[in-house]
Amino acid sequence: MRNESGTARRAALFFIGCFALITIILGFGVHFVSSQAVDRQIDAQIAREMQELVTIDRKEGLGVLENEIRRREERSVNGFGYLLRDADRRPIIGSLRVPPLSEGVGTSWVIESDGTDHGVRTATTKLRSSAWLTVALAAAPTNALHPPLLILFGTSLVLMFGLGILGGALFSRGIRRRLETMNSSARAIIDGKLDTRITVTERGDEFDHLAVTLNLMLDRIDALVGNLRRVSSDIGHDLRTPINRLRQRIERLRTLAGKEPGLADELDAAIADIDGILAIFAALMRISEVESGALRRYFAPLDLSAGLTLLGESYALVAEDAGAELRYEIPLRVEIVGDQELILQAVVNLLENALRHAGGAGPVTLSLSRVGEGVEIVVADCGPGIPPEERARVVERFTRLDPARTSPGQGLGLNLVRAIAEAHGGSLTLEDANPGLRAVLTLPRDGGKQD
Amino acid sequence: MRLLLIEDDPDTAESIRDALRGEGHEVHVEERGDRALSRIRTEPFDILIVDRMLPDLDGIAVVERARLAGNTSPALMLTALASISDRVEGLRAGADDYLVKPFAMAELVARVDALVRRGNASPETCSFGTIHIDRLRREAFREGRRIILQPREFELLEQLVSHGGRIVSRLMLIERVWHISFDPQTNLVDTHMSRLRQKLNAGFAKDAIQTIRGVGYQLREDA
Repeated sequence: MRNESGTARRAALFFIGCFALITIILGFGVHFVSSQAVDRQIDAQIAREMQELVTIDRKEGLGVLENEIRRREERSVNGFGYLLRDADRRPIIGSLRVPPLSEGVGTSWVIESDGTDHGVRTATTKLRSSAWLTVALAAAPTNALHPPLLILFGTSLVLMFGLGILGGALFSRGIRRRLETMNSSARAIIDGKLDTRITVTERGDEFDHLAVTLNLMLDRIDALVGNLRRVSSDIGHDLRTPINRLRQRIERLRTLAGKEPGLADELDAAIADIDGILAIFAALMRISEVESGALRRYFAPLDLSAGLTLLGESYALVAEDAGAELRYEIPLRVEIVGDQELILQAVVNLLENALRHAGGAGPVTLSLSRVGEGVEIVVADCGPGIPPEERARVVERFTRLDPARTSPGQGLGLNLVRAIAEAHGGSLTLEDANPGLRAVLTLPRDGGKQD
Repeated sequence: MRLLLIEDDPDTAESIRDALRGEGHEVHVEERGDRALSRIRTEPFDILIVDRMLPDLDGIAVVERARLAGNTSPALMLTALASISDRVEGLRAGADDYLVKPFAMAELVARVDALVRRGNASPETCSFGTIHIDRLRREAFREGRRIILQPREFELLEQLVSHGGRIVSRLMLIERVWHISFDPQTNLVDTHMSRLRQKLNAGFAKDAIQTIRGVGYQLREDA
């Protein structure tokens, strides 16, 4: 959920950044183009002034030109600066302070007597008498934007950031809202409310198209799940009843057989076989019931410490009788919301697995600890462990690592543990205990409630 | 005891009826929930045995309506295999115990016995034969001699004593001592029972506890 809103926010920020960059580039572009235009105008003015002075020089000689320059400087109407140098580039007249320049137009820096400096456009011409005449006029400021432009671009940047952030926030909130609707529907479905559908708005936008498609998919899944449940419950019911009767019949036969040695033993064995079949049925149906999420409505606060201590005490004795050892470390008063029976069954399955497969290899440990917003129940042993590539497979139904299937068990134990963990909004992870197996049952303290 | 069995499968009904008659009970059978309910309202029954799955009115509704009508007879609900919701709903509706189908007849008999005896035991102390327990102090005595027991061992003995000389099934012990309703694969009950037995028999000639193979345990009256 946080990620999707992050995506929208990131997209909004990205676009705001792009627009800001474009505006800044545009500002510099406008500034560059306008100062170029100003410079061209200045150059034209300088060229006209230069033309007049060159004409004076040609027609009346350098002396008149010197006087004319002095006159114009004194008058100083148009703001021109002048500098006349002789053929050896020594200044003859003129107050313009620029270094000797070659022929042509350009930009130069003038240092005033008060120490300030500013840029000027200059034009320099070699006169008939090999003297050099430079005419200059203050250039358009290049190192600072014209104040009106600065205000214009500053305002647009601020507006753009403001509107961009506001728009981005609205945009990402809109997306988040739509996604949250879908998210909560999906969570309701995960919680077993398979009839939940995503709300379709009047807008008919992409989200609505997606919602309609998802709803169609959910209809299909609902139909398939319903079908599957009906079939399994039909099979369950249809097979259970005859197996039930068979058991009753054999039990009656057993009563009739009385103490006849061979017959009674055979019938006892037959009853045990039927009970084995029924145990598999029971485990499968328990898993389906847990996976359906229907049991969540019975969830209540429970004292996990008390339940696990009871199991620890009891199984320590079972382990002792089997020549093994169980150590347990359970802190007091750890409470969570869930189904006591299911959680204890999960822990019993883990304990029995550990004692059965690794009881002889060293102590089995049962521990409970608070971790963040949840609790962790760990059953660890020192046995052969499970190779990493097999760990995902062993929690599936009917998986047993013993290929000959000679060890007891139905291959349903870990599958039920996982189903129980997930029904509580938690998880089962199998890790390496170096050596041995570490089964970690993580459960949120609130029973995995999303609301 | 006068029992009403509400069960729609004739074979199952017959087996149950035969088993309970063998124990000396008077068993009436009804196949439909609505008819059973009208009989419960007009006739006295000591115990109701109600199948969860019935055509028309189901077992939970039968118990619920019987309770609403003021009936307080102990009710045993027969529930579908391994269904937690059946069990929880059954107990919420007012059933006193439940039994998962299919079951051994000995298990049913033990449960019915337990319901018959329900409420007879005094809350503080309880005795059977030479064994005496004090529930408040959680102390156990055999022929007046104090036997030191661990909590689980005491609770097992408490179950045996409070059921008198009747059989208590392994499943009942698991439910009442460990508060779980599934049967673990390991011999949880046997492990604790053998320890209880050792402590109880130390210094006595006779074994106080008798194991009923495949069913459960009972206290010996002569021990």
